[in-house]
Amino acid sequence: MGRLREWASQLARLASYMGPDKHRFLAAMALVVAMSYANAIIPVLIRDAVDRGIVPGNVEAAVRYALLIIAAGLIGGAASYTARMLQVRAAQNTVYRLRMDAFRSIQRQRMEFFDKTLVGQLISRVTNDAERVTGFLSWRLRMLAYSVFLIIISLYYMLRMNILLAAVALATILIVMSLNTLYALRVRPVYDKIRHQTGVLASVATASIAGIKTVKSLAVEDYIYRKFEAENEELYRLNVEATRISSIYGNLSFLVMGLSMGGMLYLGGRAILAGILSVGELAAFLMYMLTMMWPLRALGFVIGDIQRTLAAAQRLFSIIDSAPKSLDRPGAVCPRPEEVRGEVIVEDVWFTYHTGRTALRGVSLHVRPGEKLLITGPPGSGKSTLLKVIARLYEPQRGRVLIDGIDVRDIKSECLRRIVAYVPQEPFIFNRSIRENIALAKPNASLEEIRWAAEKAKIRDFIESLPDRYDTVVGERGISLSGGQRQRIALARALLLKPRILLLDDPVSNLDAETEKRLVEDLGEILEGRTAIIVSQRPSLARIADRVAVMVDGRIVEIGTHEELLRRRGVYYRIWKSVEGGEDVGEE
Amino acid sequence: MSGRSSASLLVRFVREAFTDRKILLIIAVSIAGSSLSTLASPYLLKIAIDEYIIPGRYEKLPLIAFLYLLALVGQWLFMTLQTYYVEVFGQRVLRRLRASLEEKVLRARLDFFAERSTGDLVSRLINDTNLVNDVLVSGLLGGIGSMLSVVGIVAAMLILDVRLTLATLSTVPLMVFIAKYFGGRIRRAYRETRKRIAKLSSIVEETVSGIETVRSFGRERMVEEEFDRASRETISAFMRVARYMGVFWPLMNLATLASISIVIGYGAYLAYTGAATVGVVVAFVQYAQRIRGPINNVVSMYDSLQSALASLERIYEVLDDPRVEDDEGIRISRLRGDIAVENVWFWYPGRRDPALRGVSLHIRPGERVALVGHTGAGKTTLANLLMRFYDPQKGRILYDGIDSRSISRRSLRSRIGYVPQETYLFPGTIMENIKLGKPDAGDEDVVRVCKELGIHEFIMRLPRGYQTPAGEAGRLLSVGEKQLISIARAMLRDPDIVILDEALSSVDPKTESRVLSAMAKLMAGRTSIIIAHRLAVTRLADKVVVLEGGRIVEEGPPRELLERRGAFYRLYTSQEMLARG
Ligand SMILES: Nc1ncnc2c1ncn2[C@@H]1O[C@H](COP(=O)(O)OP(=O)(O)OP(=O)(O)O)[C@@H](O)[C@H]1O
Ligand SMILES: Nc1ncnc2c1ncn2[C@@H]1O[C@H](COP(=O)(O)OP(=O)(O)OP(=O)(O)O)[C@@H](O)[C@H]1O
Ligand SMILES: [Mg+2]
Ligand SMILES: [Mg+2]
Repeated sequence: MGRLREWASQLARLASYMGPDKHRFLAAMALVVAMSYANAIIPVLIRDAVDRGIVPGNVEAAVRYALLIIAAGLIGGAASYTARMLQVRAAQNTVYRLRMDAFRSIQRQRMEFFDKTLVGQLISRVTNDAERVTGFLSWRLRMLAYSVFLIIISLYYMLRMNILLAAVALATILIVMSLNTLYALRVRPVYDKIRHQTGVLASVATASIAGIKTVKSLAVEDYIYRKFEAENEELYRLNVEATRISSIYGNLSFLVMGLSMGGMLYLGGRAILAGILSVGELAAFLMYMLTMMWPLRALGFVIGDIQRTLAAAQRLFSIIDSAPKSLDRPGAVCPRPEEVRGEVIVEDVWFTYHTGRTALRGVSLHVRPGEKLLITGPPGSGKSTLLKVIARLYEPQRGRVLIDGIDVRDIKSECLRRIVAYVPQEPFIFNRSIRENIALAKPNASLEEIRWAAEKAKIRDFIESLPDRYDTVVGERGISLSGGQRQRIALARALLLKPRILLLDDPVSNLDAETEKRLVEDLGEILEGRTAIIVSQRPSLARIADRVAVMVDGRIVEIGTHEELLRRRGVYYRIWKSVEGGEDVGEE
Repeated sequence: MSGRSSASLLVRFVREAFTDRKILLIIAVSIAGSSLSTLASPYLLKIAIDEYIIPGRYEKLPLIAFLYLLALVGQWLFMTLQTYYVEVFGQRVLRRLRASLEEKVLRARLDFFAERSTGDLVSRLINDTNLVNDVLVSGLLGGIGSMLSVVGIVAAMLILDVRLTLATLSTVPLMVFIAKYFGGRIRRAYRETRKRIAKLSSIVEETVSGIETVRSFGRERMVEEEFDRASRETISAFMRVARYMGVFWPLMNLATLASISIVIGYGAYLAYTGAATVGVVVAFVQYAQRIRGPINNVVSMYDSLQSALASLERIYEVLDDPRVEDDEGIRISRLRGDIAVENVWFWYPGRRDPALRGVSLHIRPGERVALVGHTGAGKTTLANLLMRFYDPQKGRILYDGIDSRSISRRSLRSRIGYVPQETYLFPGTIMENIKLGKPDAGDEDVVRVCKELGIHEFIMRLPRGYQTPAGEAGRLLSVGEKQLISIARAMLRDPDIVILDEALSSVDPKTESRVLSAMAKLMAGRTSIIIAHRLAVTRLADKVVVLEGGRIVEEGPPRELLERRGAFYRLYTSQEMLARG
């Protein structure tokens, strides 16, 4: 019962997406009635043609009925065309709204959501699940209405012709329908497993292609291949299983139909001999059975499908529901970028990832407007997490981040992006032209601006040495670029925006010393008057930094100017000594 | 696609696929049986009506009804056999195709991947193979069945009555025309919808994989507009399909009805003149209805064949790509670690300028070499050649005096611990990822290596230690952690040579020097090549090699190079100066 109520509410929700297309659906349904009537009447016309035309040898009557059959076909065809167009349009529009809603909500999701969800699953939501809903709303629903009406109308005519034969037909319909429903219920779970297994196989293949260099350098091709083969075998097994079910159950209804048509022939023959049935009527009965074969089958599938469609819709709904209504709090403000001073205050911030890893344990920080802060520390100490929290990609469980005294959660995210530019540690390079990659946040940037940014990021010479220059397409994830080239393109992206506050995560890790030096010199200039928080493992950046902070295990353990920290002879000093070389300071 | 090449594609496919004789025999028998029984039932109906029902011969009626029933049961039986075995056969073909594609992908050279996206390859492996199965295997065998049915039905009709047969078949040309006219259009329209859907997936893929970048650069609105546009295009593609289908099915239906009408009108006339019996006419009405399906199948087969061929072509394109890594050559079980690079030149496919221009280098067993140079100088490229991901176009590389080209790639690689610049972790736990370095290693080996390298405590700090999931492409770990894990993975196999390509670039200098010293201890007496930008690591090196613009410009012990005040000195001091401020 609870289940039914749940279904009803899901259906109602789905219906709410129909919006203005509701009348299209209704009109389509009305036309479907007309269409099924036109098709159901044909066996009756054939009966009359046989009984009144062929048997008595009345050619004129036979021709008249033949023409009526064609007329019925024409009317049915016109109705079918119109109904289809109306309904497909309505279904597509409905699902368009649903799909956009889902996509928008994906974009609104918190970052944790992406940590927990596989990309492939999300793709499957907006493609497969949405398509299933479309298929249901457009053609399955039409099939359902068509089949129901066709069966009812056919039964009506059969009953008028002969009660006994009609009873046989009715019994057949019931048996076939339940067989088909049983079939659909049986085979659907296997189909679902097949779909899932296909996804598994695809993800094994994807990982082996995306990580091909790793696979090859470890020489584990055979190992990966065996893994693939196991999944491939499983997919084969499931498919054979589905085939077994569908060849037995799927065809069983043909057997039942055959049995009942044999029975009808026998009973009908006796009825004709007894004079209570005409030859035409027998032909009409057999014809009805043939006509109903396909709708009966469809009916079984539609019934099995309702639940699955609702499940697909539910998956889309749950993405929509799990997203916050908006990335911004009500009453969020939008400070004008040019009026922002660029003060960043982090107040006792605690942050735990969904895996249970507490990456920040009470971090407090005050970065004055225009100050440059360098953060350094061992792997996994929470440096990147801190930048992400400041950029409001993640929200802390405790504590807060203020920009110019305003809690970042109270700043509209759109505006925040114009104030704060964040370059991730592993920037994502899109498989597009270099120009589009640099002008990511400012698609209308002029070539001049792009050149300027490229110049400052020390990548201009390289780009201009390429045959297609800024129009060079860089391949998936920027594969045709060297590590340092990718890094500088990502930096150019941020510089192009000239934001008040820059958050750079490890921006020079893949640059050589000389390029780094030239870049850092320019950076010093560009950062004039801007606030910057830079994570780096190159204490060389300390030169343009006003202060340095060292993070260990989610806490800031030291903060001060470069010289102060060196004098303190603490963690920073030890890190520093290992850069300097000389003795190995690996002791704990 | 030219006629000849598509025919040869088909021939090749059939030759490769249709090898399972036993199943094929069962299929052939069931196809023949099912078409025979399909056409028997209307014939029996005619006999029942003409010879028993109309003349009023009641006594034989049960027999004929029984035969009728038998024909229908036979139809069911053969159909069941046919659907089962055709599908099983198809699934076997499919399994083999997928396996050979994956095998090919694993054996392909790296430049094979340069122009293809992961999504495209995966789609060939999953979708194209499916399409080939649906159409070529099931479709072809089903089509043969349909063809037999048509032939059988026509034969049965001819036996019953030639004139009525012609009358029934009079609309067949119309059906063929309709099916041909719409078949191709519907298929193309469908293909269009698939393309649109693929576009939607790629937008989602890009947005989700790059969500940090998308979000921090405020791209949301632009991405949404793009998605909106693609969704609208999807609608119009589906509407086109609906329009064609909306006309196609009613037209086919009308053609069938027309042929029934013709049979009725003409049959009535024949019955009136006594040239045909009522039973014959009723039987023809049924034939007219039954012939539509098979004809439609046969005609549409032509078009689906075209699209399946397109998929087949995409599959063979991958299978036939000559850029594979063979695994031939000497199988080495150990390397002493002597590496000689002799005048090596290398061009990336499609690039005009060489990435390496005449590099010569000799590394003695047990030597520790630091490879430094500007970004884009060709360091990674040299590592790629050492790993035999590519072979040089000019010059050669010798391992222990043996030309690398004559050493089996896999045996070479399994003796080298290589950590690429972009670390890649597979979805799975940290333990599983490290074990990939040596799949038969035990958990305790992994822990031991991590302890020796000083990585253990970093891993133990994570919520579930070695059982912590790495996430998709390692997104649940910090970059430095990923680098440490990749090093453990490479060291687990106890290699004869290590090559680290900026393997610790995101790790703090203290951890880096600890890991490197630990590694130096583990690798004592063995060769190591370390590519690094942080020049402090050069102090662990016996020899520094400076690459610039694809050439080696300097080579020698670090102290000597510093004294020489050349390229290395400049690099080194610029870092020093930077550091000192
Ligand atoms: N797959 C590729 N296809 C085409 N060109 C490439 C490819 N990989 C690298 N290149 C180009 O070859 C040159 C050398 O690249 P390489 O990756 O060897 O540099 P690198 O010295 O490792 O630099 P970095 O320190 O930035 O990693 C670069 O100009 C780069 O753009
Ligand atoms: N998306 C995530 N989900 C779960 N845990 C995460 C996630 N990202 C990072 N972590 C964990 O949180 C801790 C802090 O990670 P963070 O990326 O902030 O480190 P980091 O200081 O930037 O290190 P690195 O110098 O290696 O970049 C790490 O132990 C890491 O494994
Ligand atoms: Mg980090
Ligand atoms: Mg490199």
